[in-house]
Formats: sequence, C-alpha cells, structure tokens
Amino acid sequence: MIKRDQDHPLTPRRSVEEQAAEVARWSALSRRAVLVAAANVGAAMAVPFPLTPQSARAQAQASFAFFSPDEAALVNAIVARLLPSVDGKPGGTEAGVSTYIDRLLAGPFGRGAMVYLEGPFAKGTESQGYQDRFTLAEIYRLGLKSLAESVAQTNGGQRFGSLSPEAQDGVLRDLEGGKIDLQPLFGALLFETLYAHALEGFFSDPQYGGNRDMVGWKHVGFPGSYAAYADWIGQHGVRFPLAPISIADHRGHEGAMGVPHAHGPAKP
Amino acid sequence: MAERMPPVDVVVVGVGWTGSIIGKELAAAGLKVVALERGRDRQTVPDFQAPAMHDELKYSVQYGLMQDVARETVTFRNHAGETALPYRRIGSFLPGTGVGGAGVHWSGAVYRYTESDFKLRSHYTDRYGPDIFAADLTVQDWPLTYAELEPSYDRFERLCGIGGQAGNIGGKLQPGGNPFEAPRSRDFPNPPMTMPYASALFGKAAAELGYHPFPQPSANMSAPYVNSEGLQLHPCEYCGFCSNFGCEHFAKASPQACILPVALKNPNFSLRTDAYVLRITKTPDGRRATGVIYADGQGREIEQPADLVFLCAFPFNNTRLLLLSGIGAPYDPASGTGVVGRNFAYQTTSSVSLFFDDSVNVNPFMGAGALAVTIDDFNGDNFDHTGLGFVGGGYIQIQVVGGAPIKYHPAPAGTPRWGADFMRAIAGHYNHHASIGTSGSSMAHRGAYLDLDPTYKDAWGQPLLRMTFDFHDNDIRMSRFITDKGVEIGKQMGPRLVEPNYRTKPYSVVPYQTSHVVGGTAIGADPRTSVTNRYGQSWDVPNLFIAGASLFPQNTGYNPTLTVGAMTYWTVDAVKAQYLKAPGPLVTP
Repeated sequence: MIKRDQDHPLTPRRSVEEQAAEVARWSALSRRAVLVAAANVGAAMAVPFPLTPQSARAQAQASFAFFSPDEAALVNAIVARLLPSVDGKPGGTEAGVSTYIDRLLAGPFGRGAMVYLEGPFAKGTESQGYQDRFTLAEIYRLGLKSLAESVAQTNGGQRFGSLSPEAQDGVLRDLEGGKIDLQPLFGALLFETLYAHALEGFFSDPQYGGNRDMVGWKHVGFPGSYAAYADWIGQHGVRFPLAPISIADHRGHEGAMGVPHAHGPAKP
Repeated sequence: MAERMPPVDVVVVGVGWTGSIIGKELAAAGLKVVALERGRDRQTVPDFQAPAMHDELKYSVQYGLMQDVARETVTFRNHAGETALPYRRIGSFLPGTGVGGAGVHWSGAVYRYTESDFKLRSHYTDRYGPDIFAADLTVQDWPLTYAELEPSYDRFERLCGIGGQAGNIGGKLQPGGNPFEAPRSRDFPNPPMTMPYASALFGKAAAELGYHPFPQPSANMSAPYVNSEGLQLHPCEYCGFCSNFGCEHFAKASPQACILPVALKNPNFSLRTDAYVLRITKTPDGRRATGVIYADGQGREIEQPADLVFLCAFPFNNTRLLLLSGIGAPYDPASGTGVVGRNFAYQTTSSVSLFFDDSVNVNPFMGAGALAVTIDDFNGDNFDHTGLGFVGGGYIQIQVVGGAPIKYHPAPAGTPRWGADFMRAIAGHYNHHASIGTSGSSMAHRGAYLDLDPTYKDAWGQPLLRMTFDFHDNDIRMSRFITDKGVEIGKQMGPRLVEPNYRTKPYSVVPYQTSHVVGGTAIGADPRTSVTNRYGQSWDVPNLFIAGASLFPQNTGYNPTLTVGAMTYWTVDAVKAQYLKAPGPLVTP
C-alpha cells in the first residue's frame, strides 16, 4: 500500500496531484498499480505523454556545442530510428539523446579520456577489443561525413532524414553490418558508438542532457535516484509505485554522520 | 637524480585493503610507515555522497572510480603466438586506483575458501588420481592450511562486519547455512541481509531440487555495527548503486570506513597520494630492498628508503613492479621455468537469463553488491568429479546488485537490438527478468602468464604489463556443467523463458566478466614454482613482502577479497611475531 507523508524529509518535492498523475501513469503498465493508485490517491487515468510537433522543432533548433547543424540533423534522424517513440511513449529524440551525445563529445570523453590512444596501432583480434586510433569526437566527425556522402551517392543526392523510414532502417542495418565504407573508419565503429551513446542518452541522469523528463526511466520503470529501499526490499512481488526522481530532484536532509544528505522514497 | 626522503621503517605500495591493514598494524607496532598511493585521496565524506553517487553513467559506464587506462593499462593476447595489443578501453575487468583501491567499488561478497581449495593438487590427486589434471595445468597447493588461516578469516570478518548465516561452527552444521562451509570458530558478526524477491525464488527452487541454498555472506551491513577497530558502520539501504560505486552510507565495508581512519590518527603512519611507484630499489647484490622510487604529482622522481617494502597493489601491479625492479626470475612459458608472472588466472563466469510473466515484479533496482542467495553444491570438490573431465567448480546464485538501465535492459535472444520491437521488449521485460549467475574456478596453466610488453609504454615511459590468457578447456567444461545446473534451477523457478549464456573460448577483454584476476606472484613451498613463501615473503629479497590476490596460485569460484584480507593479517602477524625479532627469511626452502 502506498502511504505518503508530505512532511517526511524523504518525500520527493512534488504535489499530491503530480504524484497522483505519475502513479496513474504506471497504470498503463500494471493493473495492480491502477488499483493501488486508485485506492490510495484517487487518481484519474493517465494522460499520454505529450508528444507535440513543437517539442520536435525545439529539439531541432537546440544549440549544439560539438555538432554542426547537418551533423545534428543526421544524428537526430538516426536516433529516431534506433530508439523510436512507440505506443505513445517518448523515444530517443524526445529524450534529447542528441543533446546528450553533443555534450559528451564536447567534453573530455570526446577528446579521449579513459582510452589508451598510444600507438602503434594494429587491427588485432575481436578478443582484443577496440584498437582504432580515434577519439569519440573523431569517430563522429569522420563517420557522419562519410555516411552523409554515402547516403547521398546511393540515393540521388538525398539526405538520410528525407529517406522513407524503411529506407533509413535499411541504411542502419548496413551500417550495423559494416557494409558501408566509412573511410577512414572500419566496419561498424560508427554504428556501435552511436548505439551505445543513444542508450546512454536515453537512460542516464537528466543532468547530462538526455533522458528529458526521465522518459527513458519511465519507459522501463526504473525509479532513478531514490536509492533507499530498505523498507521495500522484503516486499516480494510488490510493484514499486512511485514515479522516478533524478539527482536534481533531491531535497537534502541530515544523514549519517551529520552530513547533508539526500534521497529516499516513502515507506511502503 | 631522485630527491631522497628521510628513511622510514616501512614503505607500503598501494592503499587498498591490504595496504591499509599492513600500514595500520605496523604503525601500531611502533614502526614508521609511509603508504604510497598512485591515485588521489578520497573519503566517504565528501567523495561518495548522495545524490551525486546515484549516477550510473559516471560510475558504471564512464568508470569514474577506476584506473585511468589512458595513462596506464595492460596489453593482451590470447596466446603467445599473437601480438599483444593494449586494453585501450575498460571492459572485462575493472582495475581500481586511488585510496581504498578496488575496496571502494567492490560488491562485498565474501566467502571463505574450503579446506580442499588450499591443497588443490594433492586433494584431487588423493581422491581421483593424478590423471585428473590436464598435463599443462600448473595448479599447486597453497603452503598453508585452512585451519592455519581460520583466525585471520575471523579477524577480517570482524573488521568488515560480515552478515551471513553460519553453515558450520566448530564442525557442527547449522540450519540454513552453507553445509559445505569449512568449520568456523564462531558465527558471523551480523545476521544475513534481507533477501530480494528474485533471490528468494532462486532459493526456493534450489531447495525443491534438493540443493542447499544460503544467504551469501556480505560486507553490506545488515545491522548497525561497531567493527573491530571501533568504527561505526550503518545498515545498508539496498540503494542499487553499490558495485562500481562508493558507499554513501558507511554501509559497505571499505578501507575508508573500516580501518584507514585508525591508521591516519597514528602519527607513525603517513599517506602520500599521487605517488606512482616506478620500481623497488635494491642493494648492489640484489639481496635486499632499500626502498622505492616513485614519481610524485609534479612528475619528480622521489626516493623513499625503507627497511621493509610491502607490495600491496592489484595483481597486475605487484607483478609488474617485480618485473620492472628485476626481482625474481621472470616466467618463461617455453621452458616452464621462472616464477614472476606464472600462475596467472582469471575466473570463469556465466549466466542464465530468466524471463517471467508480467505478474512477477522483480524490482531489479532494489539491491546491494553482495545481496544473493547462493548454492555451493557444485563448488570446489563439493561434488564427485569422477568422469566429469575437469577439476574445480563454482557457485550458482541470484544476486541483485541494482537495475540501472544503461547496462540493464534485458530482452530475450532474437529481439532486435533497436527499433520499435526493441523499445517494446525492454519496456515489457525490465521488471520481470532475473539472472542466475555462476562464478567458477580458473586453473593456472602453462600458457597463461604475465610479462613486460616489448612495445607499449605507460605515461611515465615504462613498459606495460602484458597479459597472455585464454580459458583452459578444463574450465570451459566446468563452466558448462555448472551453467546447466543453473538452467535446471531456473526452470524450477517457473519462468516463461530460460536462456543460458555459456562461457566460450576465446577469452575476450570486451564484455565485462569479473575483476577477479589473480596470480603472477604465486605463494608456494618451492622457490622454483613460487615467488613468495607461505608468509608472502619474497624468496629472493627477504625484506620484501607481497599482499593481495597476486599470491593466489590459481583461482577458485569464490570472490577473493575475504581470502586477500585474511592472508594480509596472516602476513602482518608473521612480520610482527617473527620477522621483526629476527629479520631474515621466515622459511628455509
């Protein structure tokens, strides 16, 4: 049963109405949660997540620190096919995945942090893992340019974004299979890099620019940053009913050792 | 010319579990100790605090607490016929760095070895005959017994506040515990953790099949606890940000939470961070260590003279420092001679994916690093190996660490990796999936070893360590056997779908498997097949001691940290009781 105590220091900073709407959103996934939510907070049925043309435009017009407008458009179009919006739920585009990737590439990881990039370079075996000489930023800069050229060449000058969804998926399958020559990049390096980053942008904390409104977490039912389930862990089979919170949603309290400290859902 | 620091009694290289214990104990014994840590200082407060710690991207994906492989890494190849290439991106194992070492971002699963684990070769030979070992396995007995190490196991459990259900106290089996456990002198200091749903389902199914499930012994606190150093630990919050993370709550045992504060209060102990040890210095005849040379944060070379040197780094680094310092004969796989770098082993893991009906809510995000129900029925020699074609075994369990979704978004085999079907699959399965894990032994063999790479260098211009490794067929057969047992238990749990993920050759550094690398400076009774004697004392340089998993002559299926901690107390006790009274070799070969 959900019991909420608005005065409890662990209670996330949301109104009862907001909580009710959030809890009802879970109902789209679980009948049990509907009943629980209805019994406890009397919530109305959920409104589907607003997916408006305005938000798509805002996304396209967002400013980028690393990507050129053409690169951003290509990445956006790819992300929309990799992690599409389904069943009225936001996908990678709405989550701001391209903003996440842009910020990643503009920062230290774009320039080679946590990768050994000393030579000599050799292809190596599959077991030996990544052996290319490129930083992440270089993989995108070189790979997106080659990809755009390849798509234009084989599609009468068209851009990836103006191809039909089926044709776009065909290009992505070829990219994934290493069948598109992206010199100087080998095989599926661009695809695998973009794929990993798309998932990161969909599922990482919103502070990194993706997972807007925690849509990635809501998609699977990950409650984010509560990080205190001592009262829940023994409640076997009971679906955790609260909407996710992010790192920025925390409200501090005095924790162990008198340290300012923050997290925690209400008790079950 | 290196700048020379005033001489001290003891220099410790690496400030994780082993370095913290040795530093604290020897400082308390009145010796001047300098502990050198290549990484930075970090403490529970402020470095591991909420909400910033609840960040899967930073800690699990970008490896915020791990070694920076841009500056130093290892090179890798499957066998000596290949050219080793750098481990350019972190993948199959996670080398730690910084104060606390891997003791910060570990999970906290703690098992004692069985009695036969300490006499692996002689035990199997006695029971099955010598032919049970493949000819190229270089496994060997430990030069000490479980009974000798028992008090040190107990001591490390009291330091860490281990929660568990005893299986065998003084030879008397205990209900609900692991009946295969070696006899312990007393119970765990804390009760077991509260088990999550998936682990409980596993335990129920395993018991129905006649196996012996028990709660995994854990260094995540099940209750408030004042440890053997008088430090307060707090109960685990089951936060799900544990393995790969530092604990915000003082609830996961770590050097910072359990022992370093005591060492740091002692004026005999001093900690220097950003001190990257380049080599051990020796007398001209090479028979004595005179200290170490390290590069400080400004890149200056500093000489730290000391009467006693302790290598307390990760297995890779202990081995590499011996090779860089010219101490001990490097192992030569062609002739099978030499010892430094020999007996390098890994661990053989696998999993079984279980997809349940929508009515089964697993809540995978509620978890803790060591939160599991385990069976030991197929670990070590707890079962009859006659006719199986392998030695060794492993445990089988469901452990629920946490369900952060960048890395955890399960979908059945055959689901597209992207697109609408992928999006629907990950939404549908996330809360209705569990994974059985197996953790199996890894037998040392002739073709698996560590040496210096001829080509690649670290940021200080020194050769990288080269790792040559593939799974031995013995271990692949073992892993297949125990994975099939996992499948049997998985089916008993009643899911819609059971998918085994068998371990196959060749070993790859890409997918994460385990960070439990062992060996390279093996402990033993014979200087021709070991680097140290039974106390971790170098055969060649008696004022040099080695601590940590680099001592292991092969790997069991168990997580190594409890045995690492116990061995460290064993070593430091021998130094205090014997070496300091009469400095010199503690064992005559």
